[in-house]
Amino acid sequence: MTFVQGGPVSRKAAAAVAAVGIMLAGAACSSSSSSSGGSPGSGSSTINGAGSTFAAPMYQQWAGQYKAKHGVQINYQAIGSGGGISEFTQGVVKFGATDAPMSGTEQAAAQAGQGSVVLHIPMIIGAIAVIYNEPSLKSLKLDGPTLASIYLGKVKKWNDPAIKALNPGVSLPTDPIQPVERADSSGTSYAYTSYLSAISPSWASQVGASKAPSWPTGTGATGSSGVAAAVQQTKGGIGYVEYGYATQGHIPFATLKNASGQFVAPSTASTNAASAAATYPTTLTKLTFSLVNSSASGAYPLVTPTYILIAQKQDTSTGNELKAWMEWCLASPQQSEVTTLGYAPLPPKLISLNLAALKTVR
Amino acid sequence: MTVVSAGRLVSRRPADALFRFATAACASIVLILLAGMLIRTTWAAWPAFSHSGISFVTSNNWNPNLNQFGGLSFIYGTLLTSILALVLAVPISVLIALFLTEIAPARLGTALGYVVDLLAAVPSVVYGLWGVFVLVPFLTNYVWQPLSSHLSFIPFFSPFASGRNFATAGVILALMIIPIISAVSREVFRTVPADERESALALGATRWEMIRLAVLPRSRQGVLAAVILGFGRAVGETIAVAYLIGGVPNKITADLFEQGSSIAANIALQFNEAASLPLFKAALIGLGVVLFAITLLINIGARLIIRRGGRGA
Repeated sequence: MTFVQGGPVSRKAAAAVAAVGIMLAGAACSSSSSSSGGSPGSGSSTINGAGSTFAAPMYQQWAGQYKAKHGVQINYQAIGSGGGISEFTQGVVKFGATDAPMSGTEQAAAQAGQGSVVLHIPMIIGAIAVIYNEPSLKSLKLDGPTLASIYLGKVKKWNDPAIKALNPGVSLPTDPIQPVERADSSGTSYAYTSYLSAISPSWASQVGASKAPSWPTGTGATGSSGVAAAVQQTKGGIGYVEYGYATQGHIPFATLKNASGQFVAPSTASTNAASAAATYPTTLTKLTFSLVNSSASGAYPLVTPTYILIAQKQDTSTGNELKAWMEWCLASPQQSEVTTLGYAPLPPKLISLNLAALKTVR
Repeated sequence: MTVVSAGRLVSRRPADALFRFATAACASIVLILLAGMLIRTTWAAWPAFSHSGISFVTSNNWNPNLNQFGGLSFIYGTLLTSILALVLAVPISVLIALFLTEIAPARLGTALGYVVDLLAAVPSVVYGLWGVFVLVPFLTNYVWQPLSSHLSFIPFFSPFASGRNFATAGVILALMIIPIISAVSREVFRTVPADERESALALGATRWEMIRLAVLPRSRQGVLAAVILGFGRAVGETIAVAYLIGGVPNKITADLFEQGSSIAANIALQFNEAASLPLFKAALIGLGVVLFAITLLINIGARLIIRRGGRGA
């Protein structure tokens, strides 16, 4: 910043003040519009995508490996599922990534923006961990109705009778519970609130399932890492993040009671149990489904697929390269690799549905 | 813009006419841009304005899932955190500026001045990340929790919930506007003529009395304008506030440890969700118009104060 130096009395000062004023007015205006990260020009061997932070670690790893093998550069920006849908709709990126299936209006807007039918291709399945910060609690058991009551602001203390009943013999602290949620639009929020809606009628009627619900209580944080940080910084905090964020940050997480009455921790095995028992759609243009609150034995109840959005009609060769990358990701060596990052592979019947859907992309 | 009176004498020369035209054209670009932005955003926001009417700024019920757009809590959060920032930043900034111009040896003053200017250039997202990982734990453990446990009888300091709250957002804003207020105040103090300082000293004034008698009275208007500019900056700040304010709509409370949201933070947090919902998008742009109006009012206020001060001096 430069300012007018010296000079006679207050006119110069006034000029300096006015100059700064104009700069600030500009800054205030420009800062209110969200700027989307610029991506390098898409040559024939560069594909840009954006969206889900839930799936980001896997997509970035696959992109790196694919570049080394096939020379195609895939740039993936983890800006959140809502951002992925929005940038894909505007045509800023070649593919969008989201954990929440697009709503009817979102689908219509995306198809208008892309000038083509838009497909949902499920790529990975993962679990959402309920993390907490209560150092005296070595382990914690929760169920859906209690979780809903916590996020509705009805269960306010860690020694609430509802939590006591689930954790017999554990001495619970008297601290208040501090729920943390995503303040930005998030597919993880969608899966979490879908679960709460499925299990708690009062949650379904008061809040519902949404990427950006109107939370009745709690503190908002941005991004999965923001939620993890907020929980770690707040004694009595509770939050929800993709399983990998919990294990990598060594944050304690709760075991949840599933629909068949077992307490299950998030893991690849308990995620597999949920996905193996599910029924999948057969409409290739909308391969969307829900895995929350599975009644299968050993299934973790908070499980979600994550999708890539791709236009069915492609008019450049980039489309074929994107299709080739996705088919590569769905092949068995890549799918068995997902467990290293805490996700679960897709069941074989879903992979064949995906490949059939990708065949229609041209 | 003031036209230099000498220009009239030489305006017959073509080069001068061209120069005059070029400067005037550039100056009017600013005006056209400003007017265009205001018209375009108001137009884009019109569906939301006509949907909600005056309740857009008077109602405290923002619920996009039900198409309810009452943005009062965001206006409140914006003003509360900005005023809080001023309360913290103004005394510190003025003292910094006084130290740089009046107390510190010239070389040290210049060097420190550069550092202060540098602080103004730190991107806001860096302040935000630093806020999340350093400031929040520090304030939570060493300031907010002690305040909350000892002073909870004061309504401002309720039982403490989370380090992301109005108070933390106010502190980060204060840190962001200190460089601006102190840099402008420093220039204002420098404009006080040396003979006035010297006369005060010659009359036997101590350095503090010299500052009180010669520097501060002459600078009051300029410092006030600096404060209002800092306020304008705080009002529009987005990312750092979005990270630290707690991101919860519909909270209007004097309790500084509560979570809330501000206009700019809410736009940033909800924009992605609004992309395919026309009314929601219009409502967020409408919040932008409200912010624009607030910033404009603040800047007009600054101009009026400076003009009045210019006549008084």
